Amino acid sequence: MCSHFSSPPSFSNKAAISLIAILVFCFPASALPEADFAGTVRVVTGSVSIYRAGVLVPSAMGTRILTKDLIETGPDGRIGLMLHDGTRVALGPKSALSVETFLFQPADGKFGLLIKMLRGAAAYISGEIGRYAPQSVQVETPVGILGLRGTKFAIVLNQPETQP
Amino acid sequence: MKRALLLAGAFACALTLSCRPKIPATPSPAQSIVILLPDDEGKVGAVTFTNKVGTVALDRGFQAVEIARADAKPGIPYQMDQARTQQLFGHALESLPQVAESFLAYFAEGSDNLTPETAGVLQQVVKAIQDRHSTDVSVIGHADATGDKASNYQLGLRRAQRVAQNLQTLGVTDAVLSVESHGDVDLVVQTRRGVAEMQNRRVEIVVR
Repeated sequence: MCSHFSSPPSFSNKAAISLIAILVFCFPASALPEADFAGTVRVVTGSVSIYRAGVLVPSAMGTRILTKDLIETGPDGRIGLMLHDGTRVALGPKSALSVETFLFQPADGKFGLLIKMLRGAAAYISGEIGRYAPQSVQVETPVGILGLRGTKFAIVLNQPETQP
Repeated sequence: MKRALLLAGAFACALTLSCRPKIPATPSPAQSIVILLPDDEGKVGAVTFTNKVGTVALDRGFQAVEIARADAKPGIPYQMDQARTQQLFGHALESLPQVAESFLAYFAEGSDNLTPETAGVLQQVVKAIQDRHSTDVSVIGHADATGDKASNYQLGLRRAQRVAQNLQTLGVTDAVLSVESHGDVDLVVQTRRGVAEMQNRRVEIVVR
């Protein structure tokens, strides 16, 4: 749709607004990896950072999270997310994860949830994706892959500097 | 005096070579640890851990496994006590959000008109959205097993759109609503095809 934009040079307000809209909507879409709505921030304490394509976005109660957002907590930070299928994920201090894949389309039988755990500690309670299609939920970690068949689990990763 | 003590402390610290700021409740363990826990209802699911050299399955509450590296065989699962569980995972567990709130509105057969009994449920939905400061509300239409799949998808969608319109009239902003249809794939009461069932003709409103 965006590539077919070929309006004559008119400088009315309307055209200017459309041009801005097209730049805003088309340019990031072509420059960034595709990201889907994944969930919202429900609990936030201390220092928490959310990076979207490398850019820091404000993180507060209610902030909407997209797939591939990097979610990090500082030494005093904690965050609780609720994904769009009711899956709940929380991070303790000095932790990081991203939701790599979030696919929840029950009418088409399409489900997928892949969480990439990067460091620190996390807790998880499964939601609707886990109920419909338990085999489609995975957590990738630096030491291996978790397959989840429900419902609640927690993980802590050892720090790289403590490894031999 | 205080300052002298601090200096002495810092010196002792520097000598031990491991003086890093520490957070008592979340120590970094020598190995990565996965633990399976009972959920809010006491139900225990299952988790499998797999890396290049092994697979381990956890299927009991508070069962844990330790993993040293991606290329090291996972340990033997063991039961972790509550104190250690709290010490390692307390902060993360305490930060898990409250469960989502669900509401149901019912419909006349083949129609997108709310039954009179459930019209009042939308006020409860609005209150829940305000109380929770929710920014993610799903309005999911469902149909019963009469009619074909495609028309049931459309009927579910019409029902959801109707509820979403009513919520907007009550002051809910469009940006927080996602309107969906699950057609007839998620029956509350399992019936054969072609069976009309009031409890399956519903819109589920999930406030997250």
